[in-house]
Amino acid sequence: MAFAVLERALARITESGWLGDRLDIAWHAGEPLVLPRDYYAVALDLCDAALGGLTAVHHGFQTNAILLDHAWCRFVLERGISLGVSLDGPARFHDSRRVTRSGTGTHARVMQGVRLLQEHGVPFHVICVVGAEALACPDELIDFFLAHGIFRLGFNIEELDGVNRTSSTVDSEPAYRSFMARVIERVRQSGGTLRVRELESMRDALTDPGFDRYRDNDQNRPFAILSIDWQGGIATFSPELLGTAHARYGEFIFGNVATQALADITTDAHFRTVADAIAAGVRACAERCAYFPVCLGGAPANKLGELDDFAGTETMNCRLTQQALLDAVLDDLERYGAMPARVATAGAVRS
Amino acid sequence: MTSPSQDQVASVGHVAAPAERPDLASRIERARRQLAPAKEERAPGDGRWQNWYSR
Repeated sequence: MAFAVLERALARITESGWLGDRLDIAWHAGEPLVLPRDYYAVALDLCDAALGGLTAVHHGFQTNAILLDHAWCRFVLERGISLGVSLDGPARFHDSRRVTRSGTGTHARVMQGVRLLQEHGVPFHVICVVGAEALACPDELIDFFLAHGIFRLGFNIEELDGVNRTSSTVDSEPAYRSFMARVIERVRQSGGTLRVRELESMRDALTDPGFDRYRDNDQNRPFAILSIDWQGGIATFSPELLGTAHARYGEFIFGNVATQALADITTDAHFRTVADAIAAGVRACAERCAYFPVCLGGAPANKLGELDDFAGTETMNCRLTQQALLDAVLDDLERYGAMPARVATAGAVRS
Repeated sequence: MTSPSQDQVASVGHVAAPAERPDLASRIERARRQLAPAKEERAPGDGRWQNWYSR
């Protein structure tokens, strides 16, 4: 993204009046570290200049860690950037899908990056994509991460959305339930050292003061998530929609920062068609699904990917990441009670 | 970010109450009571990383 585009995007955000007290800027959907550090030094300064004093800004990179070096590690630390590493566990899982253009697995190079981060004391978490094979092996996954000093994990179940038209985990609900039950056991056994995003997110949802009052989630609330592509194209709702198109809805770019204010988009006919369909889907979820107070209407990208309709309701993504997860958390709570709260420690932020 | 006001984007408002399924609802309520004390013990900002939307 050219600096001029970034500056226009920041101006559109500030003029909207929709800034909350915190803005997380995620540099992702493509490897962010292919751009030089100098680029980010300027980009982050531009963000600070535009948004400083208006909101708390936090930057995050989701990276494959391959391009990390000592200078990158120092930069990430100095700028307080949150770092997520895409690592799918042991090489046999990771290398089955994450390969270079020549077809070579990237696991060894990713682990080199992980060791560099640890050497520099850079906090990071890992996003682990779980396909059907790994779903049957929760202990192998967790043993691998613990053995390598990685304690903060997020498990992304391979899913149907956006550009992903196939998944190895279709109809894998029983396996997912077993997987999460075992993950919860391992988190308990770790005494709080192991932290899993899905469990903490569910705990946060259940303990949120606004529980039972919320009527939607960030993915189906217009402009709670704002996605801007390198050309300044504006998208919202599920980030996976950016860069995709649909026979009925067309592309999910609703405007461009060069020519349109965010508020103008809200009255655009194309946007209204999508927003109304998503809202209809949320209403249908609220009416039909007992899990609605936790999931708040699901993910539009998954509804479109699986049901070919934003106005639909239950998806595999719902059944796994909301229903099965909540069931597993409730089962565990009923059996063992609440886990002791984890207090932030130096050890726990190693990964 | 926050969102446009409801008069700017009439979307998700006016939803009907969720279908009644007392079993799950009561399990959720029990869980909320169990988890409430633990929540207060957490360090401020501790949950930052998990809110990340990323692949």
